[in-house]
Amino acid sequence: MKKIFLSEDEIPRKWYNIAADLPQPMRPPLGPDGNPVSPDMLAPVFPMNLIEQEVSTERWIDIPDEILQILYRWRPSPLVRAYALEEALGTPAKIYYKNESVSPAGSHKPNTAVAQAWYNKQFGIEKLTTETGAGQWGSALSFSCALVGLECKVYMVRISFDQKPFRKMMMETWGGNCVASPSNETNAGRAVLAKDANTPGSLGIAISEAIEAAVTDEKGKTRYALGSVLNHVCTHQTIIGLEAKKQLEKVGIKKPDIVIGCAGGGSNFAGISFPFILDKINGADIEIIPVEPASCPTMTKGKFLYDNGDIAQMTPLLPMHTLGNTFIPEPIHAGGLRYHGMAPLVSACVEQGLASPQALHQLECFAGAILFAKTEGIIPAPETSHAIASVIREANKAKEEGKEKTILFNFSGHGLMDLVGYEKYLNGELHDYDLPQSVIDENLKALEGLPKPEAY
Amino acid sequence: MLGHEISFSYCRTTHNDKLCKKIRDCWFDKIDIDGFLKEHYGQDQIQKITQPSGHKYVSLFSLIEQAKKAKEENQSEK
Repeated sequence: MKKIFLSEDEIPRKWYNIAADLPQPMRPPLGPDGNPVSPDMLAPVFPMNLIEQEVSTERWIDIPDEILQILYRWRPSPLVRAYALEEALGTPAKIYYKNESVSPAGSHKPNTAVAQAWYNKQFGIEKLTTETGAGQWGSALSFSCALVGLECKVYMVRISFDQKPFRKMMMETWGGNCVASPSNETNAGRAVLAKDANTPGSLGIAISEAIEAAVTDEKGKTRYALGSVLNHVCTHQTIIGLEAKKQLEKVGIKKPDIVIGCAGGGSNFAGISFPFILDKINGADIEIIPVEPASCPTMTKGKFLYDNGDIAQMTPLLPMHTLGNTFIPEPIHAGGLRYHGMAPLVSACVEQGLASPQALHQLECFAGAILFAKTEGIIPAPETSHAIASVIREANKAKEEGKEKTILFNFSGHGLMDLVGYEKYLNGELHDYDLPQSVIDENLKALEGLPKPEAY
Repeated sequence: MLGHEISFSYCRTTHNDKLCKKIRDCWFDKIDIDGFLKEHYGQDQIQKITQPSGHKYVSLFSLIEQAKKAKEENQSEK
C-alpha cells in the first residue's frame, strides 16, 4: 500500500504532552534577577488557556471538536510508503513519511497555528500578532486567523519582506496584515529606523514589534503567537506522530525502528517523535534522530564548542582561513533550521538520552532532496531535506547490515517557495566546509570539566 | 529562518548594531570568526554571545517589560 489514510473519525482526539513522562522533570528557567520566570508572567502576550497548556503535566490534552473541524481540511495527513526512494537506494528498509506538505500553507505549522488562534478566540481575543522570517509561520497564522475569525498582524523581517514577496502575498490573500519590520508602527521599530533607515531588520526586532503591539493594545484584545519552541506548540504538533502510530498499525507495524525529523526550533521534530519517545520511555527499542545543519549546530558539537567556550582560552580554536581586514566572506543561506533557540522539551529529550541528534552538511541534504523529488515527486523544503538526508543514511546503513528496518520521518513541508537554494545547488554554487575530527576532538577535550548548559 | 542568503555584515548588526548570538555557530566553518571577533570587539561584547542561550520565557518576559516601560513613558509624555 502506497498511502495509508485515516478517516476523519479516526483522527486523534487528544494531544500528547511529553512533560508528563520525562524521566527528569523540567525546571523553571531563572530570570536575570535569579528568580524563576514562570509562564503566568507571560499573560500579557498569551491567553490563560494556552498558558495552562504550557505548564500542564497532564499526559493527554483534549483537542476541542471545533479545532478538529478546521484540521479536517487536510488532516489526517497521509502516511506514505516511499517505495520509489527505497528502490533507488536498493535498501531493505521500509521508509514511511508523514506528508505535512498537504496543509493549505504547505507545512506542519498550521497544526499549532489553528489551535493557538482558536484558544485566543475563546479567550475573547480579537487580534494576533507575530513575527516571521521566511514567512512560513506568518502565512500559517494568517490562514488560521482567517478560519477562526481573528485579525492577524505579521511583522516580517525587512530583508525577507523584500526578497520573498510570495509569502507576503499568501498572508495577504488570507487577510493577514503583513508589514516590513522595522516598521513605523511601534516604538521598537521607530527607534531602529531612527538609527538606520535602511536597516535590513532582524527576527529580534520583529519579535520586539510583535510583542509591543500585543502589550500596548489599549483594549487588551491583542495577543502574540509563537510558531515553535514553547511547550504548547510542541504538544499541538504531536497530532502528527499520533496519526502516524495509528497508520503504521494499519499495515501491521507495531513500532518503527527509527524516527527522524529536522529540528530548528524543534516543533516538527517534537510532533513526529514525542509519541514514539513515550514508547521508548516505556522500553521500546526506537532510535529517535533530530537532524540539524552542520553549518549552524545547536544540539551537536557546536553547542559544546561554542556556548561554553572562553575564546581567549581556546585559541587557536579552528584552522580556518586567515581573515584580513578587507575580507568579506560569501553570504550564507539562512534556512529555517538556523533558529536561535531549541524547544526546551526537545533539549530535555537529548540531554536525557531519549534522542540522538545528527548534524548534516547542506550538499548532502540537497542531494537527498533532489533524489526524493526525482523518486517520490515532491520537492522538499530545504529544512525537510535534512530529515531526508538522514533517512538515506539510515537506509544505506540498513542495506549494509542487511536489516529490514522501518524508518519513519516527517516530511514537514514542500519547497515550492524556497527554490533559490535549489538553483544554487544545481548551479554548483553551494559548498560544504568540514572540520577535521581531530580538531573537534581537541576542542571538546579542552571543554572537559566545564558545566554543561541546562538549556540549548 | 529567513529562507534566503544573508551577509556577514547582517550577522554583525542584526539588532541595533549588536552581534547576533549565533554568529560563531553560523560562521565558524567559513572564516576565522574568533580571530575577527577578538580583533574588532571588546571582551564584554564577546562574552555576551558566548553565554548559553537563555530560556524563551526569559526573553519574552524581558520584551514584555520593555514594551510596558515604553508604553508608560509614552503616556507620561502625553
